[in-house]
Amino acid sequence: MDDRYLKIAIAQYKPILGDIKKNIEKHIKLINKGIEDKASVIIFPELSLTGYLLKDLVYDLQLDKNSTVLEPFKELSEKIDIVIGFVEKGENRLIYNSLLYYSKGKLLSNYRKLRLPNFGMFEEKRFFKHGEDISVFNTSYGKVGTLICRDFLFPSLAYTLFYKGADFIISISNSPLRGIETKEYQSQAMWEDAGKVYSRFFSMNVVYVNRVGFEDGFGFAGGSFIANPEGKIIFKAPFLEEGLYFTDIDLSLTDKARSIYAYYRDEDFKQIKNFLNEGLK
Amino acid sequence: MNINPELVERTLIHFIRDEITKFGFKKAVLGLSGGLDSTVAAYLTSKALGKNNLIPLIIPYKSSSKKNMDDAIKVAKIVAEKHHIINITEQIDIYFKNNPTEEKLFIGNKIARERMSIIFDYSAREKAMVIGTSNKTELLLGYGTWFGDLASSVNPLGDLYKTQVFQLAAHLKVPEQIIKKTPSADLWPGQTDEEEMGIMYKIADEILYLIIDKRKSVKDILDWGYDEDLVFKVLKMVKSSQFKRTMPIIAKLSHRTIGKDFLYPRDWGV
Repeated sequence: MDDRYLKIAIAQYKPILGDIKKNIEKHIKLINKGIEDKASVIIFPELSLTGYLLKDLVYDLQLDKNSTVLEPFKELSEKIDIVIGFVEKGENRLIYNSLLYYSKGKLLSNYRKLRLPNFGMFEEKRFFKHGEDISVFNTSYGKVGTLICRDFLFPSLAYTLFYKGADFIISISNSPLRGIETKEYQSQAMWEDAGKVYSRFFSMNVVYVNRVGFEDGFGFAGGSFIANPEGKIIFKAPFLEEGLYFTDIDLSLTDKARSIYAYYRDEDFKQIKNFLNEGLK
Repeated sequence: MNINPELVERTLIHFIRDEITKFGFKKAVLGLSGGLDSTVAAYLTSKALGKNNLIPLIIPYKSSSKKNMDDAIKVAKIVAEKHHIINITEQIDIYFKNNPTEEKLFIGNKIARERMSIIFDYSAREKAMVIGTSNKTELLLGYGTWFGDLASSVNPLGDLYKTQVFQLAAHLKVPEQIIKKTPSADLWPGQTDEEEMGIMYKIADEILYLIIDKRKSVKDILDWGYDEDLVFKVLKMVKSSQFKRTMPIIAKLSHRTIGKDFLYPRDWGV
């Protein structure tokens, strides 16, 4: 495999609710498998260290991003980039739904979920503070921006990452399945529609990683996917099945899409900024 | 209202397997009546856990229909390697001999609770979890015995209307006579669900689906020509049975109260 291809490992994983120790053991096994199969990056879903339906457990499970508990990820990232999700104990004792990106033995990026869902079956605002920042960072395979679950449903956030020059959006999720009247879960179409639009019109790769398993009757769908810069879904994991799924991404397609369609060149970010400013008056 | 039965089957098999095995259990028990709901629940559980891990319990009373009993045995043989038949006539009759009543409903509720007490006893004997068989229609209309047939640990059918359970049953290829049978709790001879509830499942399901799933207003539903009396009857049934769908309420006294601000998931640490 030459530099043109990036091998990506999606850990469509089932955490044990509220048991960080066991979850870290499970992560390590999968990461070692990823290293063995020569993946460059392995991505776990949202809140992969804890599970989703935490409620009061968030107070018991919050971790500082520099906690020694997380050391194994730092060490293992010498051999593979690692993306995990966890309950972050931030400054001023604020608790965030966060993502950590480890690379080359270091913590490369820490992203905090911006758009917490708080309606219907969701009550994240009761337990979490929302993040304040969004950024892209350099990796060995290009510029990466990260999102967490519902963030991905805001085109404005994907657009912001496009503006900041992202070649990749990595979005980690804990999306409960719902809607059983159609061929696939109705909830799945929402994620795939967004993924296809962002990847095509922002000429980038979109990697969406969702978890599986049930918690108190909520089923997490899986259906993780990768959409390429032409807006095509090139990989889709099965629903409900736990597994480590590998895909080779052709990195040359980003250059190709950027030069052919020139969306980035022809976008006028200053103009959009002015439009938004006008609208806020 | 139409479901994709294949997707539902797959989802519920994962649900049953996950919600049982994560607690360290391998097996499940359930009461098999020869009716549609318990048959469908048994088919799904058998697929999720394997025939050797499902123990159906057939619990007839002297008035139970022979036909239902035969159908239940037929299903039990399809879905499980072994089943138990426990006749409760003696204990029910002794109880009502000492505590006489003419109320059919009291007798029916007692039978339903006797069955559930046996199912939970067997769950302990067999180290098995109890699979519930109440569908969304019954749960919403409150058509079930509180702490009787409504009691269970894991309920795969609780988000499917009766109409949808029929669709799933057809997909699962359960015996034809069970799909064709008139729905009945079989708590006394000649009882049928629809007569007792005073509404047909099909119409009840449509009204419930529009109000609950589709969040339509009552005004919209009446404008579409649904019978006003039936719509209000359904609404009243849903409201008056709300208590059956909740845990017993606790008076808040302390600064941290179970269910109010002591909020942990059931699947905590498993």
